[in-house]
Amino acid sequence: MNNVSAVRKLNDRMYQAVLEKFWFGDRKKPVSCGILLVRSVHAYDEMLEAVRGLIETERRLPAEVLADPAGRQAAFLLFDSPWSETHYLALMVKGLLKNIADGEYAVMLARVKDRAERNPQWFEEVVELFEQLPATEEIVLFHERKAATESQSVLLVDGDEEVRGYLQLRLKMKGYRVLAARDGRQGLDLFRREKPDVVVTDLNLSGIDGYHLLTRLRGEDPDAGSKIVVFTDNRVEEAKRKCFELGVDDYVTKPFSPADLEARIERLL
Amino acid sequence: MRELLLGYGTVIMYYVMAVSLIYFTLMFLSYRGIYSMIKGAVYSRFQSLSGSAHAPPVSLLVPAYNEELTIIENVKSLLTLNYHTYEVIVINDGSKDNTLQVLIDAFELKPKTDETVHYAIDSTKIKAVYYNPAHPNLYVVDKNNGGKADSLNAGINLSHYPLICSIDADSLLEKDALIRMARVYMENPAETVAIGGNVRIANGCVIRDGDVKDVRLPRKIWPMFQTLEYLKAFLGGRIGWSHINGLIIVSGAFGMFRKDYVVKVGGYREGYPGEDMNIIIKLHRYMLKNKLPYRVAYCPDAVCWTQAPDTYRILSSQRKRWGRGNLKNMLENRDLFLNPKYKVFGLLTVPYNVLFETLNPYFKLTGLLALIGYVAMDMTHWPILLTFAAINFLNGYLLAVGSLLLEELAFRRYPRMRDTLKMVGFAALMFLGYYQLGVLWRLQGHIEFLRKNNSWGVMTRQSWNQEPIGKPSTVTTGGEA
Repeated sequence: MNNVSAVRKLNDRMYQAVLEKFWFGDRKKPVSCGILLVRSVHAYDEMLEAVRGLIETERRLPAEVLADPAGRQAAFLLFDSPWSETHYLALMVKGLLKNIADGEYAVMLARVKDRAERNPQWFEEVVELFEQLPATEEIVLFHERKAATESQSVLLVDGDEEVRGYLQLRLKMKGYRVLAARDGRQGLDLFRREKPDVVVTDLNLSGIDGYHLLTRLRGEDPDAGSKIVVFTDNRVEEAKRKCFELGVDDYVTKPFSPADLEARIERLL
Repeated sequence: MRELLLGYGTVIMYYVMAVSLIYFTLMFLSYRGIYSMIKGAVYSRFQSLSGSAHAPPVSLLVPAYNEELTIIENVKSLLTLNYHTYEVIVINDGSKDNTLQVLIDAFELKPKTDETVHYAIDSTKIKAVYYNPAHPNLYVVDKNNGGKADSLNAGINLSHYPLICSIDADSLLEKDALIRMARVYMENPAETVAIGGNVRIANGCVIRDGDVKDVRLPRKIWPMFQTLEYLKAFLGGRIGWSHINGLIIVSGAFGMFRKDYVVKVGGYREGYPGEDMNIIIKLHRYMLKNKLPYRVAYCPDAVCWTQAPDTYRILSSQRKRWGRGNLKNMLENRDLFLNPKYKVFGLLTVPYNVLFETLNPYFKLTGLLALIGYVAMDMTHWPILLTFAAINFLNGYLLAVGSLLLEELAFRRYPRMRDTLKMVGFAALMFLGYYQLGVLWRLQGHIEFLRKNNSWGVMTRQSWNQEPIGKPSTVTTGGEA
């Protein structure tokens, strides 16, 4: 069984479970369900049993467990559980994993949205995002992509793979369509093809120098349909002046605050 | 005759002992110096530092003479360095090919009329300055032919920033090279007048988009020997010299200078090769004469990749030119020789260069004659002779391997084990002919000097993307024994 079909299976099974709940429950009331997605590379079976036991004792109600041994991941469906309880359980699970999972684990928390029984795609999105999640000690909350931002795209041009990957994930979770380029030339190609709403670019790139890239971007897009945010290590006044002269909309320096960057991007849209 | 030969033998023995002692001391100093350099570099965050306003702006000066094949690629690469504020000034030194036109076409340059050039030092008059606001960091200067030194002087006259950096048009800088050098400058901005960079041989490496992607050893024999020679000179020699502030040369391929002092000493000397050594000698002289505290630093982790000559003809022409330049510089500055007023530089660096670099061929040659004499007069004790040869070889080999070890400890640019072993092997092979050729070329250079041959010698150009052919660059190595 390859990995892709395993993913399908997990979200399909989640959808099936919610669907059953809907049909066998009170159909006038929307299904309320907290979802706890857990991945653990080491001690998978042990983890499964431990989490199942933990939830049962804490909640005094068993959870519906959908295990996917191929992906070393499992979904725990907590029907009729208030949000606060789901969150509390997630914290407990995290504490538990810290002890047994040897670092490589991830926990994601989601809440079934209204009329989920008609929307299998939602489950697909949840599992897909969870699959991409790197091992982390933090609990990740799933926010649904808002319909309004669905079409908004961000082009990220940065030579640093780590920064790129991190921002890509964060912006994706914010609901943007994220295009990433590792150098100036690739960035320019993507810009031409996709016409993104926001360009976030470093000044220090390989292939094309940053200032020239800015001129080219403005030259290709004279009525400034795309907003440009310069996102760079360069903290020199003169460089900022030059960039604003070239028509950029914002200038964020590294080391950066992700919240700050996101807020600035949001404001430009 | 016997007496004479015996006396000579004694003298030469001391000579060899002295030179070995110096080399080993330098190697020792290199090992000591590299440790603090590496530690400093490891704890520096260059990515962040490159955007800090504390790093001073730099003007890169790129003299170009008949470089139409490679210039675009190199300028593009120079424009994407990891540094917050710098400009690239390409000086077209009256090229006979289309160097200027290809630059104008590639970067859509227009003549810049509002640029006033302040002639702080003498140089051939600048005909025009080309510029394009879409490439705000690039200036192209057009002037009549006047030589490399003259081009650098013209570039200095146009430059807008307090630090200048000379770069050969056929060399590639690593993205971090400038900020690594600036870090060394920032350690002591008041006293640092010049910083040398590490020049490495790019032959055999995979180069894409103006970046050295995969470091490999050259496949041809001449660049291979030069790779080892450069490693030895730069790592085993220059780090040590810089440790005692006795560096006599910062390679013309990649060196950074404080503009105000370069202007004070009158810029680069025109009309003769060896201008890169000359400017450093002038700086030493000026600072010591005026009793100013100063240092000429060396930064081994700032790397410039250059194309080494890969045919006998071009290599010999390059080495003859170095020989000429070295002799000229030593003759011009003979008053520094053992002059206590000039401290380490006058008492150590210059005498070392005169005795062990400039005069080296004569010692080697007379040594050979003496050897013939010994054999002819039946004075040889073969076991002793062989012991001497073996000791000599071991000395040299130990130094070569020492610099390789330094490379492996500190930089590890050659990731493949096979390459390392190959270098260890070739370091031994160099004793069979290559060093001897070096002596011969230097001697030929001296002969050219006496005949007042003042030309630059042969060069060829080929694009970076093809199998590189290379040309003589202006790096002088100081350490062939």
